[in-house]
Amino acid sequence: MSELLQEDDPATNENGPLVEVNGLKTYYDTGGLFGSNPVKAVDGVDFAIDRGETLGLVGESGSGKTTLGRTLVQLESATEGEVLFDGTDVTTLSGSDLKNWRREAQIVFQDPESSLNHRMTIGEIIREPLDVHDWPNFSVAVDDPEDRSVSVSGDGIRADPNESADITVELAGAGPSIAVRDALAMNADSVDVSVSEQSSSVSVSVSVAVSKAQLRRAHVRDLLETVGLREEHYYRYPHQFSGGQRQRVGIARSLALEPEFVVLDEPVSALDVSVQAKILNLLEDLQSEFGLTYLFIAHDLSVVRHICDRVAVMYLGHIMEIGETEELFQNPENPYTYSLLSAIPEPDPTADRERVTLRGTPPSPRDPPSGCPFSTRCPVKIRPEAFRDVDEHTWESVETLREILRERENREMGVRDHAKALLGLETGFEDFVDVAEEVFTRNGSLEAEGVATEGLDDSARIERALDDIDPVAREPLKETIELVLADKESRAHELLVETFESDCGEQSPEHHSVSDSGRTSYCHRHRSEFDDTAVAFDDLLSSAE
Amino acid sequence: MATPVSQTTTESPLLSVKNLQTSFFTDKETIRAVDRISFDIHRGETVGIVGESGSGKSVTARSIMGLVDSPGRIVGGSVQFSDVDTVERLAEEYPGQTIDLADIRAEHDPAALIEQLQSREADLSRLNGPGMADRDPVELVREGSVTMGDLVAGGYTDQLGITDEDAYIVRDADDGGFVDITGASEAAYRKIRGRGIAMIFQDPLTSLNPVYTVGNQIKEAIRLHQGLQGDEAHQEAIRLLEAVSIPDAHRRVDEYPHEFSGGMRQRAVIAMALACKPQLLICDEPTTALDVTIQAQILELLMEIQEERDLAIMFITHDMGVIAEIADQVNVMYSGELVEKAPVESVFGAPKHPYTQGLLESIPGRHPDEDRLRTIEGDVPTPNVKPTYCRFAPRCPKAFDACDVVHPVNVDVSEDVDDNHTAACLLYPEDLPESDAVEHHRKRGDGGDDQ
Amino acid sequence: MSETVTQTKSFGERILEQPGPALVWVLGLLILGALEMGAIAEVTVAIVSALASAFASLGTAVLGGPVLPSISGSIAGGLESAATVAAGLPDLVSRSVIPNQGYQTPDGVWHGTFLGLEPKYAWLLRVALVYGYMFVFLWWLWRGYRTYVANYRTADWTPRDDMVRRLRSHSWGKFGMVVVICFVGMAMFAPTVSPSTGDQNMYNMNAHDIQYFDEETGSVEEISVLQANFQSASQGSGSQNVGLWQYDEFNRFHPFGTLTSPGQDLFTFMAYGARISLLVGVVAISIALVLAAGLGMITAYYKGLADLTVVFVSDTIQSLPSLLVLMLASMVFSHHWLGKIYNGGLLLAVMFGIVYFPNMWRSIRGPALQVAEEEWVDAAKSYGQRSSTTMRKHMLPYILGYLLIYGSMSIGGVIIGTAGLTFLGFGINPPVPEWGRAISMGQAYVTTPAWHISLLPGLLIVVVVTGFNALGDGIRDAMDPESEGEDTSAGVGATGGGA
Repeated sequence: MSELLQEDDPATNENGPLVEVNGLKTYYDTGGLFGSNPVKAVDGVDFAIDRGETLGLVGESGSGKTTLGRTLVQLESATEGEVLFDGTDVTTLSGSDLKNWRREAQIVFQDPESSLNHRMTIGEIIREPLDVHDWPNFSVAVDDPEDRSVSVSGDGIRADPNESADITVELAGAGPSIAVRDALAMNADSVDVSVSEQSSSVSVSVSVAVSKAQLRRAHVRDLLETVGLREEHYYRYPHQFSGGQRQRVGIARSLALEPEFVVLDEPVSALDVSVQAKILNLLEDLQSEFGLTYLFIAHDLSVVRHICDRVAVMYLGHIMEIGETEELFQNPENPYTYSLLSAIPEPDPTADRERVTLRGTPPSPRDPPSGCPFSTRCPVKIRPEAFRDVDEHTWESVETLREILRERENREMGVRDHAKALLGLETGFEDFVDVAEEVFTRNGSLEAEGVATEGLDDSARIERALDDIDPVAREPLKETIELVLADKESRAHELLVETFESDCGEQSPEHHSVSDSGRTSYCHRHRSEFDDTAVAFDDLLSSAE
Repeated sequence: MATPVSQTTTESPLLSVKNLQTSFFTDKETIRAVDRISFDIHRGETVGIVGESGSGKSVTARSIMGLVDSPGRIVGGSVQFSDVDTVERLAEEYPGQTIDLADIRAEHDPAALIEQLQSREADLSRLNGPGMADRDPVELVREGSVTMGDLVAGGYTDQLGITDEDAYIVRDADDGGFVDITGASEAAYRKIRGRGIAMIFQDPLTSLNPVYTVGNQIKEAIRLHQGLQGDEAHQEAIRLLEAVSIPDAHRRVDEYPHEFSGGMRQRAVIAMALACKPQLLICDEPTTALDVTIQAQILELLMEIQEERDLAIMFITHDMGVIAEIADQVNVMYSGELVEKAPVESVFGAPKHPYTQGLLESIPGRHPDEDRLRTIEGDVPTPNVKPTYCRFAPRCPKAFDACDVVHPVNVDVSEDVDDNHTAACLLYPEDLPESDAVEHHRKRGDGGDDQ
Repeated sequence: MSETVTQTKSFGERILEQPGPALVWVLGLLILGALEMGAIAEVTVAIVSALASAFASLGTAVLGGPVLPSISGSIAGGLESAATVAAGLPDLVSRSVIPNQGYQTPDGVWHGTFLGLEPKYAWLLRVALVYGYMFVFLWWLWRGYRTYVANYRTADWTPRDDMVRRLRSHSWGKFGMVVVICFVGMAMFAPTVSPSTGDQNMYNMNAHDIQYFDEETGSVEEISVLQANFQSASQGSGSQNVGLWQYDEFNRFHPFGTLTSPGQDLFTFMAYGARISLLVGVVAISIALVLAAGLGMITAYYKGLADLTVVFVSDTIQSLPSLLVLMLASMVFSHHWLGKIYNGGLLLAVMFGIVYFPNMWRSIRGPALQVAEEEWVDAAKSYGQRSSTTMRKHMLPYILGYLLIYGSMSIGGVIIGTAGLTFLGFGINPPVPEWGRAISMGQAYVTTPAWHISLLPGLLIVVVVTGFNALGDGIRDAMDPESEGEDTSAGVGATGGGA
């Protein structure tokens, strides 16, 4: 999209990215009154967004993508790290600096039902940001061939040289010639300029005959038209609009202050597919018209693929993979990206893909796993040397057992559980033989395998259940189960981790560069000693057949 | 994955919706949320219903479940559920509202009845199946394509005073008979719901009571529908949770809904539905609120369960991707009406109705080489008047003059004989010239036949 | 719907464009106002002088001496002359238009009453005129709103329209509204609807004389109101009782009978008492509402520590036995200047406001938290709206409904509370009339022919409190968010297009 940038916009002439995020962390409930674990919604991300680019941010719920988007527009405050906007760290801004900066970065929300105040008319809603910033400020740029120092008085203020001025006064020639920016619905006749020139300075006094209120109303009307609504919608209320129309109003409001950067927080997720297409087209039109830079947050990957230049895939507060859209979709390098893409149902019943279905649900961001965040669900997790060749069922059993122990460890025993345990009633912790049976047997239980369980004691049952497991893994698993049965659950968990853990669960991976276009992926598999993701998945899928 | 369902034409359907009409009556207007739709669901088959919000797909499901809330109500049509077990249970409970076909066959001859009806100049169009419109009904009876069962189902025996109008349970020793659910009382509905037809909603929390453990709620269903008690019920609950792939079911069974993640909750709800041993499972956007990786798990689970139990599934969604994944048959709804009906391959491979075409075209990624997405102009209209025109016409790129004055009916557009592909659009049948096609629709539309 | 094209016009321009309906309405309003010119002027003067004296007494209290006596003196002088001028202005619904006090000579002719009517008819006529005027005035205001909607409003539909429509079809709510209007009318027009005046009947009985026809002497005599009242007080026995709808021996009409010694007219007492009840109720509820709304929004917007602090404060207040606190406060402050304003009425109102706010805050905390979670609040933050403006524009309109509901439902409680305290001898001191005191005065006579002294005020309290609750019910149903949701779909269907 970079070719769409308007050349006359002075701000875009600078090189380098518009937004640069370094080591950003956003935690919730930090410390607080109860000193509990914070929710690590965004847990150290780095990336940059170029001018005029659309960066997609995808991930499951709880991945931190919305928090990241909200942090970029300073709706959440960052716990650590910096967000450089045009080189300025906006996480440190406050007061009027922050307020002024807000004009540059806006957000469009997901739910068109909730993002518009129902008690205000569409006109009032779109106009509010203008009122807040007292738009337009009548910034005056004085074009003086002699380059003297300029002072501006009257209705106008002196324009920031980096921004496009509302009124441009050119001093060359007989009298000053006046030009007014297109966004303002007035012509140069409405501006009266008197210039007093000295040898080393010029003072310009500006008086504008049009009221700001009138200009704002006209601007709102323009915006309505820009987003495909009609002028008469000005006095209607949100209730009188459909979801798609409301989302258009939300977009118009975010554009009111003429921002450079817009965070689109799932702007089409709540819409039907035919309406969604219209909004996506609109967003693309607006981007080319105003040279906007987008951060497009979504969970629908087909939408992201359509609209984004680059994509970042988030999981548990980390960016797992980031790179050019097409490249990433066609050749995902990170196991999570691979699994995520594989999970999208394709609107084509004849497509015959081999699917990887992920196990379980993402862990809580309050208590993320150590090492790689995806290690608890990764289908192609790196195995320790000794178990590299065990069959899929064995590995699956080990992982399931780990998950069960992990969850049991995290679970707090309620009062009821304690009381039950005191009374010697079953608390769900004692029937672990059944659990072991379910986990280890291929068919879910010994009975299903035609083994008569009557008369078998616990250890015999475990023994039989382990028959389905690769011999290499039998001994540690048996030991683990025995430890659990002896009520030493945490020791059992430790043993399991010690035996079966690899780098994935122990060390945080690095962001490996995986292509010439600068794509990076956060995974141990990119280290030279391991198989690539694609190879690993091929092995996995062929073994499943 | 979709399996070809060529057997559907031979076997009688488990659920047969005929001309179902559900309206909502408000002060301002009457909204015809479901407007005379007909479709069948067979055992082991997944029928998808797609449409945008406001198309009436959820109301269809609720109508079948008898869960339409005031000010809505079913105003016409029938929903025939042909599960033998359900028919027998209800027939036992409500003998007064049961028709035994064997008795009627013994007393009457269908051909004679038809002659009787013809002498009364009754409208016999409901009897004629597709392609039989112009045939003599008496002849049809002789050759066996119209039976006594058809006469009863069509309401003709009521007309002749042979059967009671209130009777909605039809017992038939030959093929099990059916229950017309729309005639059932609330008490009878409770006997059908769960054990006959179960439903899963978009938000699993609406089906789970937060103050009881998940296990308790499943056990309740087991107790009601399978008659198991105590430890037996407990073990069955654990078995069901395992069946829906909830790990560590022994512990999970004693947890509360809030301790489950979104995907787990939906699994628990499916387990609850399975506890009733239903024949038909209605899923109303069960994966819409879930993440895509979890959605994949749930879809996989549903397919597994269906295979294991030979379940019929009616799957409602707005996501064309999900439909392509899970459905065998697809019904496309628009503004309360069924506009296209076909096997899944045909809907995606050769969509006929302009709306279906537009819907598919607007999915991002259909035309990767195009910069702009294709769209459908305008909004879904609220169906508040009886249609004498095509409801899609104002948005239709292919609309012509007749679209504003003739209401299209579903016509056969199959490219393959077994396809059973229909679309409600004046452009079809394609082999007829436009004016003839319009005339065809006009005639069929007047006859009141929606098939 | 004809003007769906661009409107850049301001409200004033829209009126200039089509002045007819607005002119008619303003003219009507002026006529209605002119009829009451005198009363309006009088009330204005009264308010100004009340403010001046409050200011003076505050000065006295704070500085311990009179502040600039000369200035306050000249102000007082000015006010006096203003009052005289005001009294000379025409006033349709004043007692001087239809006097009801006079005497009957043996020939049956009434002297001094309106057109020689019997006092009770004269009084009834005046009451009818007052209420007639009031309802016409309110109807005219309503018509003004309709005129605005029909001719000058730019939006063809607003969410408020639905609320108004729902309230209009709510009979129980409308009943409540009528009761409340009648009650407020009674308080506002107390000097006019009463058969006697407050000054004559309660505050300055000795300073007024009345004329009556003495049958013994056969001539018209004069007697001071104080004495007349003493003689016509209801004492519960047949001979010493002026009951419902009766004349006393001085030819005075008592619609509700008289009180026990010193024998004031009960209706006058009630009408002036309504002013106190209304004032205490409205002031107390306003204090509670302002506190509750302000704190509710602050706690919902900032959460965390702010929320915790308010929880702590309100829990502390709620853990106090409120009746005891109220009694204690009115005892402690009884000689303080705060306790003297309106004979303790203001003090009571403030105390009630403080006691009532925690409950009210808790009631609106939920809705406030809900609104604070809406994305439009985030949106306002995202473009740098000030937090105070965000609260006012984006949160307050949504909790305002709840405030109205809880306010109208609690105001009855305050009225009962005030009456209860006065009944117990705390709260509002004589001679300021208060309904609770009437009940307490009549307590001993409930089983005698003077039952009216307790019963009528009691019944009136029940009716008024029920009325306020009914109005609250009506408002709640009108704002029902569920029915608002229902309108969403209909509204979309009705006006969609474009998307």
